[in-house]
Amino acid sequence: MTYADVMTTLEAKRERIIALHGELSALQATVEPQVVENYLLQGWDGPVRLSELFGDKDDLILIHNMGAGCSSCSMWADGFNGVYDHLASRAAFVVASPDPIDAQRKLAARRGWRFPMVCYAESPLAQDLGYRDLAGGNHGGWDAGVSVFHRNEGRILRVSDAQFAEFDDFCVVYHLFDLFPDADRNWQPSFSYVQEAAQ
Amino acid sequence: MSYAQGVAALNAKRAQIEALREEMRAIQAAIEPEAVTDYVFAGWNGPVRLSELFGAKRDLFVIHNMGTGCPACTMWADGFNGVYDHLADRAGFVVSSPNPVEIQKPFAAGRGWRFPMVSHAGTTFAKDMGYCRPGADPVADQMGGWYPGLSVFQKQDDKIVRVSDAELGEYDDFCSVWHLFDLLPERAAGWGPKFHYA
Repeated sequence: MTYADVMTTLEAKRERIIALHGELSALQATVEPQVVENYLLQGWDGPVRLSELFGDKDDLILIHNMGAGCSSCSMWADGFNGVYDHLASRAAFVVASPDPIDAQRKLAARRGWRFPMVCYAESPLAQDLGYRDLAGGNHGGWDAGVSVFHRNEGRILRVSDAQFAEFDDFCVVYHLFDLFPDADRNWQPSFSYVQEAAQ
Repeated sequence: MSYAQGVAALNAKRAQIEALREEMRAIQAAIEPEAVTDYVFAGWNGPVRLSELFGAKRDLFVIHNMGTGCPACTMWADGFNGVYDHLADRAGFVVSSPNPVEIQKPFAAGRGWRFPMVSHAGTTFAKDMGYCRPGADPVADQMGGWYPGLSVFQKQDDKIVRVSDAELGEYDDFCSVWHLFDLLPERAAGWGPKFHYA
């Protein structure tokens, strides 16, 4: 197929995907939010309640990060870090992981992360909201995704959530790599990469 | 609908999107790439050829950035900057804008950008790639007729070919911000990107 024909066809598919995103959010608007409790979490300056993570916003985006053992979670977080100022202008944005605060501080410093983090290892939040399966799985049963909370008249509501996976809407890397005709499906994220010598 | 019913319905919708992506991969794989010339850009250390932007890689992304007048292009670039190490492990990755190098340097420093940049001012690169279309749209013309996007190149023997390109825009696959805001009860609610927030 010619270059121009492929691009025309792909553009039509992309428009269809954007239309489906519109349908997703229309559907999302019909979902009844869940009332959640005001969980106690560990912040970098001591214990902190879920309600305190909102700052001066009414909406809170909480990332379920699996911690320093997960290179994929770190890549997703790297992407959020890049656009953190933009996100933080619209809603509070916090990354939660099961790592102790010391480990969070080290990982965040090494990667240049600017967003606030909390530890929820001792809290039932992740399990209650579907991001920890105590029955097992890898990485202690922790799962990766995002939950969005809204506060209203003293209550905290979870309004939406989405699991993270390759080719989701929350990490651009796989979509960029998908633009190659011979897309390498074996590429995997690492914590760091060795610079190859120039040819 | 209850939250649990909502999760199931939303996942069914997401599966439709994933099915479309699978169709797109098959279409992309059938492409006849287009040969492109070895353009000369203004790089930060002097003139640089498109072929040199690949570094040690066979594959190259070039972002068509509209320059320091565009807060949206800047936000997309901020996102690429966050995952730059990951991208650069797989392919060359360069951001091209019409700004002169002397403007690019302080702007990139101010935002903490780590990716290489080139200026395509004075070249036909953006126009040839379809990302400069003077006269197509009066609003775009006020911004110099530039359009935001990305082009993907491969080295094949001693040729350079373009294997894909895509325009950048709200709710595309190349900026997570809009998708995150779509999860909020009032969605973006008139929000737009800025260079800085008070």
